[in-house]
Amino acid sequence: MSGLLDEEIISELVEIMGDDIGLLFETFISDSEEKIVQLKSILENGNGDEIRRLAHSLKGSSKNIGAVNLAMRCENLEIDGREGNVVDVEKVYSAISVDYNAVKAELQMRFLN
Amino acid sequence: MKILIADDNNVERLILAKVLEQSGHEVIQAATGNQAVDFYFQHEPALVFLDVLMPDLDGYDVAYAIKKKQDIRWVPIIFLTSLTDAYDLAKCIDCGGDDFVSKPIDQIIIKAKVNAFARISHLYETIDNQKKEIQFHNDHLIQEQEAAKKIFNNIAHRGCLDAENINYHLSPMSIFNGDLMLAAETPMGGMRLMLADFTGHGLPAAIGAMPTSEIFYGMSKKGFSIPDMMVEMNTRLYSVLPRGIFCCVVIADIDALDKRITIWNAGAPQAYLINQDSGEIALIHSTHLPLGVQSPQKFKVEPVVYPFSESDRLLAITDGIIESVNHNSEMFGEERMLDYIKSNLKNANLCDSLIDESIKFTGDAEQGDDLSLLEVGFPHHHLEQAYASDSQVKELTGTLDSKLGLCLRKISLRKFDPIPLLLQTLLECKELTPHRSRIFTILSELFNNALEHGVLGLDSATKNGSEGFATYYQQRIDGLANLKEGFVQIEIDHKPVGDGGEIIFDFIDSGEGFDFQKALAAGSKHYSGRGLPLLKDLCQSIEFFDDGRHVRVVYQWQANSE
Repeated sequence: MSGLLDEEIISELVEIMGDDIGLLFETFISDSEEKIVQLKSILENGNGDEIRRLAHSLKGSSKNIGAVNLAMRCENLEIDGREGNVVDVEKVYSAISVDYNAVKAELQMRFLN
Repeated sequence: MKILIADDNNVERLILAKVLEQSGHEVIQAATGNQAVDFYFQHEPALVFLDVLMPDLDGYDVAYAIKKKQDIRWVPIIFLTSLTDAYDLAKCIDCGGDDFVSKPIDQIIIKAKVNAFARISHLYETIDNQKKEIQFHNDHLIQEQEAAKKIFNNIAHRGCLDAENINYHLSPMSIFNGDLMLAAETPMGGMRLMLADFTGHGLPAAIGAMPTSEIFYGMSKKGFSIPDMMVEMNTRLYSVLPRGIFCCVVIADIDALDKRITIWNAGAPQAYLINQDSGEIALIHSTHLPLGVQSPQKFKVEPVVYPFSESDRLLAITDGIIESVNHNSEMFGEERMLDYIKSNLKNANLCDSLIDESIKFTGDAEQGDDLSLLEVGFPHHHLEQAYASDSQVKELTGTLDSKLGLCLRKISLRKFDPIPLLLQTLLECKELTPHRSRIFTILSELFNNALEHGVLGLDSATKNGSEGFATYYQQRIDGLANLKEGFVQIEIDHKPVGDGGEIIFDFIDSGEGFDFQKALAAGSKHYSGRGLPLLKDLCQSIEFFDDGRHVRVVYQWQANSE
């Protein structure tokens, strides 16, 4: 499970959110689900600035819930987007998508029935 | 504390809200920039967290919108940012933010920041409350001063200061600097003036003005002499004023008939008696401690008398002008003052030009005191015509049908002025109110003749010449002090006659008598000092008995005879 979720952050969130921990992860999944869909079309058709914004937003949520790898991939994309230097769109998308789905599955398994 | 969070990232907002709620704060959540601005004005939070990047209106614009409309409340704005560029972070502060925290959210840092800003907010609130309180008290104070000024102005009114023989300078708020200027026409048809300066400033200095001016107008109207009135004022102020507050005063009576001025200075700067023709200037120095300092037992009033006619002027000042200071910390001073007067003898309004001169001297240097100046020329003699209201006349005829007798012997002659007493008793007959001035004049002429020429045997011819007045009044003081025996006996018989009445005044003295035949003869000037022509004018008849030791005058009056 290395790099998927930072357990320190997860346990801090559990402490902060209490009973609302499920709501937090549900919100994360529903927000991100939408962004992953958007990401696909923006990567294909959008400009660098649009890519940067979306990557930034996804990075923020991921960092907050301790999805370290996902956050790092998004940060790299954000930097590339800012520099207008996004290459190998397919590969980028599938890496983020795979990471996201893994995080999602893990969260669902542990916190959502 | 009510806290507004603006963040388009739902996850981040949820976590932050929870962190703040756990610390007991009330949280309002906005998901967009526009919503943040709306919620800010709707909910009036005490603290704002702003995400920098939001899709519609970014954090900078939200901060700007909030701070632009900021009321007197101080509401700190903390930016949430994942930015690390120094320029971007500085921009958070430039656009009106107060601080920033970096993302992702660290609950320890968030809590610490909120506590720090709560402390500062509390401080601001305290300052703001104190400011409001000070403002409230200040408004209140100004309101009170305005009200007090109205009351003071009613009591300490200007009297006849606007008469044409008077120039004066007195600032509208001078009452709160303790300066007081009063002027009244005396029953004899002359004028009484007073310039007073209470120590201190503000209400404590103004408070003494009330009894002072009440006594001034009350006793002047009733014909009390300067010494009697000053004794009364000193007694009152001595009992009323707190320690350290006292009253410097110059008081003067101008007798327009006898053409003399009686003047006394207690603690004030020297006053000036200026003769425009000869250029002579007599300086009236302070000869006594200010009022309110000495106990009534130790208080002694010894005014001086000078001739005063159309070419004479009195100039009295408070220390404001003398102590006004220029940029080199030099005072205007008495020397400069006297020099200016000497070279501007004929100036028609010395008061105004002295003010101009002092302003020229000081420039715009800040002055500590008000400039109060009083300049008085010779007043036209006229007998006051007061009217009694109809209601008074109908209801009170008082002493209309009465006989009054009084005999003053040696000691009483020295100490007691019977004229106010006699006048007040006669005026208990309210129909006589319009006759106050004439009755006062008759009483004082008759009494002074009996005392000065009869009992003391003084010769009014002594008054002629420049030293004459001083000599004469010194002789009067000495004569009274050394009086072995003597009396003045007074009888006043008041009877109703027709619509009005008749008052018979009998004055008998213990003196040598005099040649009244010669005095009454037309054109005789020798006894003019006795005011006989004036008495003849005012009275129905004048008769002498017992070689002139006994004089009887008859005064007749009609109701509403004016």
